[in-house]
Amino acid sequence: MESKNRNLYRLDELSGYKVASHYHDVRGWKIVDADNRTIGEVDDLLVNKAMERVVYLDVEVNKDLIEEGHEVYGASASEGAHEFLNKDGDNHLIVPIGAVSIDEKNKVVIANAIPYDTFKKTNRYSKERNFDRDYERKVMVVYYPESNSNSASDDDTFYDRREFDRS
Amino acid sequence: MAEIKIEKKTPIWPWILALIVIAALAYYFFFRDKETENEVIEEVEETTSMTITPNTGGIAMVFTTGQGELLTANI
Repeated sequence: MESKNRNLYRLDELSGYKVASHYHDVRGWKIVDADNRTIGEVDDLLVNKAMERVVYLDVEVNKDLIEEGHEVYGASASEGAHEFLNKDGDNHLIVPIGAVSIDEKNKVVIANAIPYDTFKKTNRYSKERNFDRDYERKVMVVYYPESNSNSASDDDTFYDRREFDRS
Repeated sequence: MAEIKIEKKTPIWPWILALIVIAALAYYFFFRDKETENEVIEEVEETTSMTITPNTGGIAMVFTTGQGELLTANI
């Protein structure tokens, strides 16, 4: 992953690390919105190595949501404006850990804080191409329009905000 | 909201080293006991004799233990 300066790694590529005891390894679990509509499946955990915690879930987006997203883009394009354009193969999203809760019993992750329609219009990325801090900022602005993500710092303090808060 | 922490995995090589040491010790003690056992058996075989007692006409088996004691059994 091209983000070593951010201390951001996929847990799959950190062979010396694992999910800590008493925490849930949600890789492979389904992620749904507050109304139980499927967003996709958690493909990997994006961790900040210095903070030793997960900051994003790497979600492989459900095909239905991608197709619905195309319709949204089509409609907005005909109206003359759209903010993002996802290419073929862009089927991954990052979801901040502070935006979800974990249903341990049903092995489901619930994105309470982000509505389904927001996921449809969020810029995605391809796992092969990865992403940079600018992508993180863009996504955070879509998820949390009221927060000032664009001015957030480039170092690890970027994750010291309520979007990544676990309380 | 959720929180997932990560931790360093415990390295496996100390366990592998411990297993090798235990296996080596077990091998050493097992074969050492077996060699001692063979030596005792050989010693007993060497010191066992059969004696026909002329007076009684009986047969006595005489064993010499490792400590030099004589054991006699009349047949």
